[in-house]
Amino acid sequence: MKEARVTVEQVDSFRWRVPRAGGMRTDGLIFADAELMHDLEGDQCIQQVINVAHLPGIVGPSIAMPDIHWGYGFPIGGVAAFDEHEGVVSPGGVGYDINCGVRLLRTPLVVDQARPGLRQLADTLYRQIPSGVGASRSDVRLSVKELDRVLARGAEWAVAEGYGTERDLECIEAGGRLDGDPDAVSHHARERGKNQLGTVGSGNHFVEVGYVSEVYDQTAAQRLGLLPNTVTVFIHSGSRGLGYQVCDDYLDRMVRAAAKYGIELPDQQLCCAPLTSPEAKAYLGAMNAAANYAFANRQLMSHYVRRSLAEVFGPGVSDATDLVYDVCHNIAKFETHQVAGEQRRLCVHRKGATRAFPPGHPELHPRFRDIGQPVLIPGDMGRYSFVLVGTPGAFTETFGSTCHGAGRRMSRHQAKKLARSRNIPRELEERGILVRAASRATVDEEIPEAYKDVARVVDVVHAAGIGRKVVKLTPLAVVKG
Amino acid sequence: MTYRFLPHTADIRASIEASTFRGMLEDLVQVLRELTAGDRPVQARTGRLIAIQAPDPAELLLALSREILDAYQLDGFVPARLEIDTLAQPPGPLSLRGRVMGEPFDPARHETQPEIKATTRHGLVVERNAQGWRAELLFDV
Repeated sequence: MKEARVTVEQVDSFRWRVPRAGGMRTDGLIFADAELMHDLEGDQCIQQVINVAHLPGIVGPSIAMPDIHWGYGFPIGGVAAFDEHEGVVSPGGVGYDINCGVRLLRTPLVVDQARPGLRQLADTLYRQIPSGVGASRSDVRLSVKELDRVLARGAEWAVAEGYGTERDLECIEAGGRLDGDPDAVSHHARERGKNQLGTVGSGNHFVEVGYVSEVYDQTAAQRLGLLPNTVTVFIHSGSRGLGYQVCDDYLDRMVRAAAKYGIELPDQQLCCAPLTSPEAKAYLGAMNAAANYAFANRQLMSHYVRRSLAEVFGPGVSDATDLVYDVCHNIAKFETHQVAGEQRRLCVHRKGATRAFPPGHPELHPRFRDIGQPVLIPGDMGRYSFVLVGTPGAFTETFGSTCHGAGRRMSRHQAKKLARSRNIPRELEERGILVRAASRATVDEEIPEAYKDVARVVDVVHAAGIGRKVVKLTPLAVVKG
Repeated sequence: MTYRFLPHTADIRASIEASTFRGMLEDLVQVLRELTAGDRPVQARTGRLIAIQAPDPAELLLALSREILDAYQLDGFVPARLEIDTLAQPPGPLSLRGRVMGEPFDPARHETQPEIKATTRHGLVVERNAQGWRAELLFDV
């Protein structure tokens, strides 16, 4: 890792500039308030913002969201756009969990109707959606051909197989399907993924039942069906072992590609290839295929959420449960943006950052054109989460991107130490939140104190104009890996 | 014990110090034992063959780590220790042949840990020093 003296200048209450220096090709731009900046002391994430600014063909600043924290290669909470001709694509700018993302379902229930069945719902969700390391399903086994269809068609495949509705597809980023190339996915990656579709995984992934506890934007909330006390279900997961393996496979190739094309790297995890190269094309095909797997994975989990709701509250509730939205927060996509008065096609890397397109953007389904793209920001399991919408500010300043979550502030080791003598599930239950988990270690490492307060993160993006708050959601039951 | 876990905000960073290259590889298996089974004992009931070639020490560690994590994620195999038959060491081309001994994960005896997605190249250090060998690895969680 290349270490440099870090200079940070405050621009205004919510923006901090890391001036271009040394081998940097552009500035760094961090969105944070003073307290969040203070939290970053001792963390290497600002150095990672600087490292990303070294990459060839970067357009605009190397951007960090207020939930930024130390990742590998790119920081988590990083956004970087690259020119389609001069720029690069880096698997480290997407991450191992390709198309890790979140989706939100709204039920027709209000919180008082759900409370009597909540314990049964938590148990049913835990049973219906396998969680934990290497979790697999015995009821969804994909043949080689079927897996190819998942990799090519994403959520479309799931809906065609009966796991959801056509309406669901209208409420997913990119319609739940990217231009994936199944042939670019290795046998090893396929082996890791073939039995994991419809599983949540481990770490910070979860299925969470909650309710709308506060409304900030009546019009948008109404359009999204998020009225006060509406019961919701959040799903946070990605492309599971298949995506991790695609990333690993292509990191190896990109290390060689970076040397071949003479790209100097401040950190080997930033290995990359020119967007015009065959290596980049192969990676993007495989990455999109893994992203499709993730879309299908969340679509299947939605099916099992609906099945759980039907079991506990009846089929009427399940049938009236609609998808609010589904967004990626680990992805690289070609998009057209206005840069210095010129329309340019860029490869926008979002690693721990969410697309936040404004009202009127042609890529949005007509149902969202007037309010902007819904943006889903989960918090820690003990406090709250938020729904926002995209803004013109995000489009002009951050390539249509905003934050993705609370962001960790404490190491896993520290969190475990803090939780050692406590019973976290019981503490949360006393606060009205049921927890079902495959592992005590995961719950301990994911204690609410390990995360920044997501309300502060969201307040920064709202105040900076790169997202607009719509509603707050408060958790009732959480299923963890 | 010649390994320890270093502070990192989101992922897991491990440091290994060993007097020999062979010892460093053996310690890497102990790091992975802890990351898969917690601090519970793991019995060496069965063995999985390992045959790795790598251009340099860092790539050898990376490849060994990946093989063991794969065995855990695909088959629930948790490692107990490394048994080395042959090890061609630096400065020449590197190769390792042997077995990782271990057993199937047993939730009654082992402690489920958060999933390790991968062994990253971020900050990957494998170097010789006055005391022997030192490595630093970052695991994505």
